[in-house]
Amino acid sequence: MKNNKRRLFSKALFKQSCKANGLMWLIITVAVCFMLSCVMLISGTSNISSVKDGVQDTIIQEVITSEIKKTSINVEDKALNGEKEFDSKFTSKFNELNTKENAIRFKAYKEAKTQEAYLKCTNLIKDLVTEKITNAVEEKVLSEENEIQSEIANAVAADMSTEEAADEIGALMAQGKTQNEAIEEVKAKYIALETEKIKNEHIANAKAAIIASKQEEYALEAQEELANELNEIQSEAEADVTNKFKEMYVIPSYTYASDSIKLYYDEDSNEYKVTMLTINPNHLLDSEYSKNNEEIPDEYINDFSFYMLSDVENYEYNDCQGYSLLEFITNDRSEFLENRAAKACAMVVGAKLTSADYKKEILNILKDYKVTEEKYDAMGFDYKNTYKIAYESIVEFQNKLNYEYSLIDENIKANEDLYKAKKSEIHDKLFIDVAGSLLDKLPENVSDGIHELGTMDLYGLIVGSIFFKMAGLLLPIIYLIMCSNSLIAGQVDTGSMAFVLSTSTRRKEVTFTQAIYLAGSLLLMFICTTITSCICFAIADVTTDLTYLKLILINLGAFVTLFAISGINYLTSCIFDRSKKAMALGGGISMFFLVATMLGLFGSPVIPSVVRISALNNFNYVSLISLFDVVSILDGGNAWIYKLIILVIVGLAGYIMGSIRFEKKDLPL
Amino acid sequence: MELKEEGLIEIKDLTKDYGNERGIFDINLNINKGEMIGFVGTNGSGKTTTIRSILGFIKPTKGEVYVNGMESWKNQDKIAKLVGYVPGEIAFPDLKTGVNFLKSQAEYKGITDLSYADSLIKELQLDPKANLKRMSKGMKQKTALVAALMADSPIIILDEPTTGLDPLMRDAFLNIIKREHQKGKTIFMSSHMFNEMEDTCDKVALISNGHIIDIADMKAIKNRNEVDFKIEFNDAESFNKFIKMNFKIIRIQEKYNQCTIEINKDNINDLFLKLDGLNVKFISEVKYTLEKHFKKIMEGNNDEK
Repeated sequence: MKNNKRRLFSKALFKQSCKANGLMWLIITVAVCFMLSCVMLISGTSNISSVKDGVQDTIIQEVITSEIKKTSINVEDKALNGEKEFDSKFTSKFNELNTKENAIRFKAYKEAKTQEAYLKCTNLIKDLVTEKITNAVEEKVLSEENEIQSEIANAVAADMSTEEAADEIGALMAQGKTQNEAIEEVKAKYIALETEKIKNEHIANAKAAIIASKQEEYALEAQEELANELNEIQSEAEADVTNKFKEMYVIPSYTYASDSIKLYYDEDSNEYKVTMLTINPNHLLDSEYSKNNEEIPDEYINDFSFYMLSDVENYEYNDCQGYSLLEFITNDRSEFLENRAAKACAMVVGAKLTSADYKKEILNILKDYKVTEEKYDAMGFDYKNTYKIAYESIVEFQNKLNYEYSLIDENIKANEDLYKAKKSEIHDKLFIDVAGSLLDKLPENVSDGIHELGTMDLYGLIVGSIFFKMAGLLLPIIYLIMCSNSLIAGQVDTGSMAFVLSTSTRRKEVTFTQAIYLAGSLLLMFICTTITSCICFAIADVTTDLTYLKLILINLGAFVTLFAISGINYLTSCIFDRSKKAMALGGGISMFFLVATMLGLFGSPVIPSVVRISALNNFNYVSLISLFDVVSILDGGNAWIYKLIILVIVGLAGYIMGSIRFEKKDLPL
Repeated sequence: MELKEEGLIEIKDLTKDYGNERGIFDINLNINKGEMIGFVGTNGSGKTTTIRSILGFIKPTKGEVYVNGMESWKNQDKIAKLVGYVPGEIAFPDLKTGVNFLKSQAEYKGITDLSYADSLIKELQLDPKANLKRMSKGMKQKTALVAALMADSPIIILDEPTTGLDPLMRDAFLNIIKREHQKGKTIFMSSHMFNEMEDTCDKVALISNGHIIDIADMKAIKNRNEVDFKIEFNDAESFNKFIKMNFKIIRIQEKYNQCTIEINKDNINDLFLKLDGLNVKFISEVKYTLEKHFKKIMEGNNDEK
């Protein structure tokens, strides 16, 4: 007896409620789960919005392209300034080095070197010509051998007929030799004498003749034959001069200018690196170019030499510092600098923007759009494309900039400050014009709208805001209206409650048991939807903010929302004796909330601003369902917690007030 | 549980005012253990309201009802343990068959032994397997009666149990109720039919417009000393002669030469002697019924007003 008094839960009544409403519960639960799986799978597997995807892709492309353009123009700006700084520092150092003393010294060196080379060449030619003549003489003498022999024979014959010869023969014969032996001996002596004499005579004659006739011819021949050696000597001398020039002027200026870049830009900075890469001093950084398969640029100061040399050489005549280099740098160099910077910067940007680190960075920028690495890779921003975009945007920017600069009024040009300001204004304007993305160029609200459309989590919207906040609530609300009515008001109305209350079941037991049944069946329903939604989420392949935790929280939120609505229906069911009144009020309020939520959706911030009707947002303020903050759950915020607590309180209040009312009222049984 | 012999159900100054002179007013009724009380009144006279008050379903505007000494509104569940109730308008819970319903009722009441219910089912020729929704009014009433009686509660309250039953079934119903009464149960039964109360009840209370007009003791009515006779004469002469005799005439219809007299049982012989020689067409006893009794009282009340 005492136990009975404390008992709040009637098993028999619970069984009866289960039997009475079980089928309806099952049908509604199956229907809700079916709808849910349809929504989650269909919108998950098929292309839910090609327009949205298209917009998103376009925006992403735009953002990346704009990022490339911005980066490359900025980098090129820096490189160009670096180049200019280099040039001006180089020039000033050169002009500093270009003193009279140095000019004289260099000239003297050059002249000495030239002289030396000339002498070397002359000697070489002379030697060769002499050799040639000697050869020619020998040849000629050889060809005159017969003539020589006959001349010798004649001369010997003449000598032999002289008295001297007879005396010599006589002397020899006196020494005991025969006449023939003596004649032979004397003859040999004369032959030797005459041979020598005649040969020399011939040689001299031949030499004189050849020199007279062939010497110039030989000189030319020699020059031709020695061309290589002569050139070598010449270029050796020239190289020496060039080296001297380098040593005296170029290297110090180069070093000075390079060092000054280090001051101009911090040595560790990217600007410095880019500038150095653009200048590529002394081909130090060729490897960087070849690494990216780019053409290695010419020596940066190739064009300088001519002007430098002319500056140095003309020093003496002008008796003052020559400024042809300065003039060249000031007036004719900009195109070269721009072109060179464009190529180098496009390469740098191309290499940098396709690096793994930068990819992370850009994915971070694009995280609003949920771009995965694969998706980014598929967009084709490889080195080649990036280089192309960067190069083209730099060239476009520079051309436009130069054109705009050229249009500046002469009056403004006259005032340096104004000119500078105007230039920077034009620069900034063109920068946005060329490098800004499509979104930057549109009016703010339009670009916001497109941005919003691009970043919208359509799947989260459909599952969270449309299904769990509206479509999915409809059937459970119908269940709640019917079930809460049949649990209390319906039984009072028909009178069947008499069979419950005439069996010593207390009213408190009735209210408690029925409340447990109503809330419990609702909970069970949402356990089913939670399981269903998790399974569907595992099957569906979508990019979304949704996670399993958020999905479970959304299910929980929907349950709590319906718990609050069930509280209201339970209250009206307890208040009224007539089914129709209870259903009209409880169901009416519930349906009003649902319809207000549906209308309110079109004005709520989850709908893209492009199609949002903000006036309809007012409906959200009159609907209890608005306290189910799906957006906050999806965003990972905390606001939904206190809102759900309010809903729990509303629901509990409904149940408690209903119970109290039921215990105190007259029952027409 | 010990039951009070005297005043098992005590209704004291019970008033439930629904406004517009509807409801019940100052009802006083005392029912002892083992009594069978009939509660008669026209439709809307307040019978059901009184029963709801006894069961504690409604809160009285004034006065109270005690069942076995317990105030009924506050001790609804305890009273329910003592009472088997057959509602006037029977609507079963949303269950499939009669068996389901009876089993569920047994569970509510904590009954495990269903043999008595089975015997009742047999006696009433009830098919308990029938679908509750398709049951006729009679079947519903039988099922409800089985549910009310199965717990063997000491008090049985029936709200117009025989309405809508055919005469044979009504007799069977009343027999079962009578048998329960004989077992010593206290029975409170409402009806708008006087005749079924006459044979079964010990006391009958008449309620009209929310007021108890009279509580009749059936023994007193049955054992009345006076008898009424209706006499018709063939000619006016005899009729006029008879009227002038010293009988208590309660009704005269001169057109038919007819009159009704009330006479003490002891004087019946005297009547017949005096009728001798008069041209009598017929003579018949007019039965004094509960209906008549109450009509008489109500006429008296109206006269007073």
